[in-house]
Amino acid sequence: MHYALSEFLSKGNVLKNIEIKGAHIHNLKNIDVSIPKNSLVAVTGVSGSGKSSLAFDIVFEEGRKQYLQSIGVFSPVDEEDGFESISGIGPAIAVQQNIIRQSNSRSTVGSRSGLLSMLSVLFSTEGVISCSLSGNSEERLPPAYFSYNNANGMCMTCSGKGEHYEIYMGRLVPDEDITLLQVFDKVNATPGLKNLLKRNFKDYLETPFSRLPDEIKADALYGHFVSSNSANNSICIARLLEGLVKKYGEDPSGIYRMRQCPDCGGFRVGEEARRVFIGGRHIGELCLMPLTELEEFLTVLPDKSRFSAFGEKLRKDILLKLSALVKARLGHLSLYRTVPSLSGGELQRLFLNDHLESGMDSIIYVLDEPTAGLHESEKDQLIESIKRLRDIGNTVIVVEHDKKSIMAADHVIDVGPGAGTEGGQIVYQGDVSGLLDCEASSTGRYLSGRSSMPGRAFKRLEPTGWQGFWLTVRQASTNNLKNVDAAFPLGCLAGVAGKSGSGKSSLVSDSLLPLLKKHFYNNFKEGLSGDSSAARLEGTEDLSGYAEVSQAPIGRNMNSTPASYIGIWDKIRKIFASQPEAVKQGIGAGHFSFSSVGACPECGGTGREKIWLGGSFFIYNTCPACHGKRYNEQALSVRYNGKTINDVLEMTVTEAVSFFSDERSVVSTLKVLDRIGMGYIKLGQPTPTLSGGEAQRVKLAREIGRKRRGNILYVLDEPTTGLSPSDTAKLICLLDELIQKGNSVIVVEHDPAVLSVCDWIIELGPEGGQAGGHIIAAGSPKSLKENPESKTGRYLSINE
Amino acid sequence: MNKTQTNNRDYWPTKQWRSASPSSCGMDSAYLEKLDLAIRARHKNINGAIIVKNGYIVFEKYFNAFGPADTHNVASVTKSFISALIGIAIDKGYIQGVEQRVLDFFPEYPTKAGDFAKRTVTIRQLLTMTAPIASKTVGNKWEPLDRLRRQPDWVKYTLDMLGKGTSGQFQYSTAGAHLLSAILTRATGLCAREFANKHLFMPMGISEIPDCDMKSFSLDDVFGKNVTGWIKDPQGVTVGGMGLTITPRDMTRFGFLYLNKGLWEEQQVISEQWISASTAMTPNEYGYLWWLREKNGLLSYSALGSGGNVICCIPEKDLVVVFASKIVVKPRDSWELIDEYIIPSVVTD
Ligand SMILES: Nc1ncnc2c1ncn2[C@@H]1O[C@H](COP(=O)(O)OP(=O)(O)OP(=O)(O)O)[C@@H](O)[C@H]1O
Ligand SMILES: [Mg+2]
Ligand SMILES: [Zn+2]
Ligand SMILES: [Zn+2]
Repeated sequence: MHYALSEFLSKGNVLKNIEIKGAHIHNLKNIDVSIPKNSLVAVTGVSGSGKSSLAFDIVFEEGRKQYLQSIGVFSPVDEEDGFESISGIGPAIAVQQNIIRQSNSRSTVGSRSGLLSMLSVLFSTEGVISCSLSGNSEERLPPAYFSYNNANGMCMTCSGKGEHYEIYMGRLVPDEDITLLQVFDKVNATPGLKNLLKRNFKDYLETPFSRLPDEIKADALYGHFVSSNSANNSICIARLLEGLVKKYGEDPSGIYRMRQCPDCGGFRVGEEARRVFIGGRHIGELCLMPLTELEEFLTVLPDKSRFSAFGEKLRKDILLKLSALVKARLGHLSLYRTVPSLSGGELQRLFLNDHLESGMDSIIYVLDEPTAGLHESEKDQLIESIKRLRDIGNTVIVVEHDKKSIMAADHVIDVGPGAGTEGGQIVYQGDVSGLLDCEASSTGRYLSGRSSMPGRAFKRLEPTGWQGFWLTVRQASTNNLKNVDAAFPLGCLAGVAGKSGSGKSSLVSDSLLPLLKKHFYNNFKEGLSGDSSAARLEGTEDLSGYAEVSQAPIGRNMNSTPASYIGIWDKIRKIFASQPEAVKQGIGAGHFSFSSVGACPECGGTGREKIWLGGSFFIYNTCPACHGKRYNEQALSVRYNGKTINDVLEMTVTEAVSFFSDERSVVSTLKVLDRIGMGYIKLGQPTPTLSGGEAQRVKLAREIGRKRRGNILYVLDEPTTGLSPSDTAKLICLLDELIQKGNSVIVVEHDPAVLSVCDWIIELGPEGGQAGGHIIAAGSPKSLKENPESKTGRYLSINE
Repeated sequence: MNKTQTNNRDYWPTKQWRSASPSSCGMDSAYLEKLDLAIRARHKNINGAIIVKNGYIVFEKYFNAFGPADTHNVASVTKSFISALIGIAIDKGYIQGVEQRVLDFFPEYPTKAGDFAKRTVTIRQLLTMTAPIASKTVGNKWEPLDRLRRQPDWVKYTLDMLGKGTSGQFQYSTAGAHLLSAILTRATGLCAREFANKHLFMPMGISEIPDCDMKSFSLDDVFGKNVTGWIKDPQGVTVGGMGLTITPRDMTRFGFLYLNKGLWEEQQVISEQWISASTAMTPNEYGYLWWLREKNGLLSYSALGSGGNVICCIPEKDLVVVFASKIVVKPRDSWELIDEYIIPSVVTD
């Protein structure tokens, strides 16, 4: 450790508490907070109350800054602090779900945990080279050749991702006669970009694509290098499609599809590495095994008798690490599983495991909902790990909604009472029992049972069971599913429950959704992963459509905002362009876009400038030209009802609902957002910075805003992540309303509060991984409660 | 002396280079003495250095116990030789021209129907390092050359990578240069080494490069101390991006041929047109496998190889500068020597 760091630590350690005075960042109302060190602290409150501002923007940011200063990589910049004074802070490490989600998609469980490098060394030293094709048979491959992240090791076709996007030519150019113009029109892009494309190819538009010279085909599809734009690529079909994927997470037309890489078969590494075996398997095969299976494989490994002493030691070290991960309930993951695709809880456990192993002390950890994604029965163990982190001398601050975790805390800070301007105050701080008695705290009221979850306005189920229609997935066998038939009642709220790794996502995301996609969009059969399966869907005739509302981040484009995502941004820009001042200056809707002509010329519309501090340290400063307003002066000169376009970006959803009350088309989707507890979100917050749960609620609002007719099936993956009990209550009301209007909802959930109000629950299990994949119970919450096979029933509360 | 004289030499160094004193060629020898000191002090990896002015050797020094007869592995300097050979093959009609497609030469290589990007890669793109090729597009800083070395079939490996990435973007690729060597063989029936012996080296009096026996493809055989002659890949294709060993005087001959716009004695070895096309300034400062430079209005083109191997031609000063160097990681930039000692030493043109 740096000398400066240890000095810094000893200085900070003298104080028993972290004392913050006059915190006023975001909605915080000049609050004073005292956080006891070496303890487990829960920060609670409704969404938008200011928990994250306190825990992340003040405690974590300040800890990080002071630490960087102490080691001399950071000189204080002239930026206003969000507080008056802070003392007792130490180096801080944060695990924020949305930040890790955005992390490099090349990062995997294997790379993150260090196991991939260890396995690479093992293959390099102990692997058996089979049928070498080159003349260098006796030459060992260096470890780099076993890593998909290394230029020597990666499969060149997919750059080591195991999958890649491909233009599905059959869909783009379905017949010989379709002209280039028609091909362009098949791509779902904005008219502006399309017109550019058409202009560049104006001499060929009427020619059938099939008869174009190959050079023109290649250029229309993939473009060529240009130095004039940031992508360094001319405008072309692939770029438009990439744009769609960035914006929506997929190309809805199905022309641009993620496909398993045909060259490496998804194993990510090159042919060189795939010819080297341990125990008859190459590294790609090991990296796709669930960790439990890998642990077993390396334990019984017959090859080990021939290993060198070094190899044997390495094998044992790998096993130690593996068993720690399996104990942390991550055994169902594989080493190739990407970090951004992990559930929030999995991420936190992977991270905690790293840190427990490192044994560092005097650190302040700030964790964002570490129990998200865990079954009730699995939470205790995680809470034990967190306590161990505390016991070795760290301060652990968890932002939590989960009852078990809050009850385990030494100290609770409840922020509220409401969201946004209604919040920002300390409602309560002290031990848990005091919270339960605190009348002012909505968290306290729900935890003590004084407030209760809403019931359903509308219970569909007859005492004898469901008399209506069913949607049935037959013979589902993706991942660990054991050829199960799963029947979901339509027009109901159906829950899918089970321990982590039991097969919930496999049933819903990998079987049901692809089958729905195939049915409703006649989507080519590649839609189904593991296409050999005989899985099929029955009962779709009673549905008119479906909507998948996942927690996947909404693209990575920092220019995307909730306003643009829910489709009101174009309308707002038009409103500004129609103001007399805009008409006078002759500026159109495009000038009100901070990602194009309206952008501040200094920062290009980001509102920030990036300053490199050396190494991998960057800080962002407010752009000195526009002061963070993102726009050029011309755009800011136009006002609508007294507000500039930037003021609109800074508005919360709640504020915008009243500001735009005359604009019905703008306000209707905003109202939905407001009602599901998202009123505190700013219209201009970049969507990649939304948490998984927030992203999901924005998606849900967009889907509901579309006002589709008929019975729409909404499929939601853990919608309560990030929701406080009172926000969960709002969500339940909203789902209830969807059902009353004649729709159907399927939720994958752990939260007993939501499961308890479901009409029907399908429970997978009994355990995770290969020991799961069966339906162990199905029926009403009441029937699960009475079912001794069920591992979830005992946590449900039925109030009839 | 003026520039037109380049086509009107008073002798040709086919058999023997002649020397002259720097001052007789309008050069200040004090600078060249400092050059000698600078090489000894700061460029210890340089084993041989030659300066030819107006066709005469004005400076020739060997270091680290090397001498004029020793050959050096010149690494990527090899690429500029391949460039010359492609030009000769076009002059002679073996290859239609730089717009010809790479895959025309590999009809047996299978492509998918939708693989327009790969099918439309041209010889010009390989020469200018602007072909779409996967090895660099995936965010790697370096092309994985050790990986190339381990391939059972270098040409197939490279063709597999072709077509991915941005067409037209400058991406320095040794594998791409190897494809040009393979194209030469497909077009002429001779490997690049044989073709060079016959059409490039013999006319200039460069001694014939014999076939080398590649016992294996270990690091030393491909990049290291075992490299002799001009190495070849497992299929016998002369390595196109590196692997030529040659004496500093022969390197100088090659540079001198370019200064003379392809003319050598009575013979137009390479067309003048090819040489101007190869060395015309581009936004990437890279011609047909030649590095281009303009500094203080002075144009030069150079064959550069890792470790500090250089053939630098400065037509305006009728100057060829050659450094043969031990291949070291992160050598000191030899432009320093050219800019600080060699160019200032030319006092009258
Ligand atoms: N892409 C995949 N390839 C192979 N096996 C997989 C894949 N995805 C999941 N599995 C395996 O299928 C089983 C079920 O995983 P699934 O993600 O469906 O669990 P889950 O119940 O949704 O868990 P969680 O509560 O963590 O979301 C696990 O054993 C897992 O390792
Ligand atoms: Mg899941
Ligand atoms: Zn691949
Ligand atoms: Zn700016």
